[in-house]
Amino acid sequence: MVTTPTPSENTGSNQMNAAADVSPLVASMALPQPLPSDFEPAQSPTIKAVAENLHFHYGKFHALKGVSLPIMQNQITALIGPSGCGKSTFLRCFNRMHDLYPNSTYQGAIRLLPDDINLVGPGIDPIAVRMRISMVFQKPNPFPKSIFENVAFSLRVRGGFSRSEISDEVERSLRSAALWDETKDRLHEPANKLSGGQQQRLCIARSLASHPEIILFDEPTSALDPKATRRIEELMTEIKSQVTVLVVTHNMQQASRVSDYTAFMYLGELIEYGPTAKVFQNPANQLTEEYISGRFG
Amino acid sequence: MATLTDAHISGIARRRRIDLCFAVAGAVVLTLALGVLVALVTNLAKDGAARLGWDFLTSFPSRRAGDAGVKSAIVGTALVMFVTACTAIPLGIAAGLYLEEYARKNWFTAIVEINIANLAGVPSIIWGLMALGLFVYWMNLGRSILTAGLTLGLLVLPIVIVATREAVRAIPQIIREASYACGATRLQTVWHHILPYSLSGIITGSIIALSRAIGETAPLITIGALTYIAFLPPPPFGERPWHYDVESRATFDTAQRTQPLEDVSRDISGSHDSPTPSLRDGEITFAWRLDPGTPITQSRLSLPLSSGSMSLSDLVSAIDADENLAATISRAGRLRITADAPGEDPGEFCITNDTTGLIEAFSIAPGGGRYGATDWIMSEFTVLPIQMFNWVSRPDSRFQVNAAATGLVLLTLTLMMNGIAIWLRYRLRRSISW
Repeated sequence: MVTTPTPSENTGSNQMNAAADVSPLVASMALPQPLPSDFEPAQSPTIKAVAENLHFHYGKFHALKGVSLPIMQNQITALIGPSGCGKSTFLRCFNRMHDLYPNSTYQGAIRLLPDDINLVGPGIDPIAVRMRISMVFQKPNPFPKSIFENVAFSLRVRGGFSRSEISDEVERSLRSAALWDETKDRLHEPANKLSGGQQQRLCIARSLASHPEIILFDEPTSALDPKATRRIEELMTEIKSQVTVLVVTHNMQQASRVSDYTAFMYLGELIEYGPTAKVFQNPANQLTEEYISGRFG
Repeated sequence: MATLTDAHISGIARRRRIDLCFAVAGAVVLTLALGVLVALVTNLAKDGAARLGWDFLTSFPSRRAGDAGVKSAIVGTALVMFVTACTAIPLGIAAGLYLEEYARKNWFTAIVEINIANLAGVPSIIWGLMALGLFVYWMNLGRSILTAGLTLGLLVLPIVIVATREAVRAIPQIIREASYACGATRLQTVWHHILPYSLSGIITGSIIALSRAIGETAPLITIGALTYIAFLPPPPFGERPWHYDVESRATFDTAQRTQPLEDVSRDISGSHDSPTPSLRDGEITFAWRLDPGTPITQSRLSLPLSSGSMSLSDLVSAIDADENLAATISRAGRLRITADAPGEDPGEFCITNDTTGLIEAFSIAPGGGRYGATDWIMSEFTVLPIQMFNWVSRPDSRFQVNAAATGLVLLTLTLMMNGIAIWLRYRLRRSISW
């Protein structure tokens, strides 16, 4: 597995109070650093999905204005940008979450490879999309059921699994989400007795249970403390060998720490996309540079 | 920052006094309201407690106040509530879930929403009138437990719908999104999540709705619930104590529905020459409407078959002369003949069907197989508030005591239901948090 060097490693203890004072930290990140020679991943990643001229409207509001972006397989792609830039809207196109609400219209395409189906195409059932692309939300949202049932739900909606298959999958998913050791003795206790960080890992386990091809993370750590945030970030790095990850984050250090590719969005448009190190250290666009250096956003 | 002046300091004292005034006023109002309730209950208990006892709960009503009880009213209330619960709760939950989880928000659902709120405020007597037209006349369900249960079910349906919607709306949207993101359909989301998580609110609302229905009197009077019922509805698969065979038929002139009772009586008695029956079966009640110009609203007329014609007053006194029978004429002109002591010997009686004007003479014989599972639902009934209403309106003060005791029973039932609702809410809510 390829680890992209993250500039923020150089900033050491600054990370903890980053939220309080971003600018000096970001300034240090923006220093041009020599790219390591093995910057390009050893095996060039294949493309898992690609957005092509994607437009999205909430009623009359034009939220996405022609976004085109590849999502690399088994890589973490971070979506950054100021509030209201459309990054969550873009993310939620991938599992057709907008279909739950009236007056949502998609134009363009998100092609899921290798079978090349258009996720936002008219003939595609959103439920079929969601069975292949799962999601982890901003606030941990376990169901008020047992830990076991939370993970098992992804399988129960599909049906056709035996009890032992379900319990095997629950164990596998909890192990993948690094939650098995903490919960194996209390699988049938209510999930909301877990701490916030554990709840979010449970949500990750739930989204892993169905063997998704892509997991969407919508600001997964914004409700968590720094320690729990760190565990989620580690987890994202661990699971990317199994699944393609797309993460929306407000925290630019998080983007630089965990992601392989970064897309910067502004006012519903994609401004810049590239390998994370490149985007953070040597942004091509003036807006990107201003945003990551904390001058707006 | 401005410095704190003496005016500010004295201002604090003044504001505190206003605060205190409000607290005192609130406490006084609360005490008054509770005081009135306590006074009412105490008064009721003082009047009724003496009569309240096992006998009272297990006796049929009687024209002797000391023997009268609420057995048939309690059973009637329980059965009517059962029908109400079986109709209002599933329909209300389904409607509430549909409106919250399925229906698109548009002008049509907005109108539906407003009208559900309006329905909850419709006076219950209006529901009674509607039920009289719909269930009694149009669907021919009679003044049965089914009619009453459906009427009260409609009455409390909006309460169940509103309770369901409130409970469903309290579930955060992220829980729904989590379910849909797992690939669930709407039904799976509702079944696995929305319904279980809102159940405590729904059950609480449903019990509150039933405790409203249990005290309703007006719509049941409108549909013609009887105030005197000295029998229980037939138990499912229970043995029939008697059956009847049609012996002869006579046609009653429907064009002359306003003819006086003596003519009716003569028509009947003239139609065949049966011996005077010994009418002792306590399960028979009589009702006839004599208001000129109104159609015959009761579908049944049963009279002891005597020879010759009889004037109304003669009939009353003849019936009263029988130690087992009592006859009364209400101000509405309804003749009610009641057989007080259930006897062993079945008798004979006549029935008219007011739509055809057919008068049938039946002979009643013991035995006759078993009741069906749902015969009880078409049975006539009385309920606690109607029994209470009936006793309150009697001049004999001993019946007032009975009424007070019935009130206590009713109040206890209502308190119990509300208590269960509170307990359930507490129990079920504990396990659910977001």
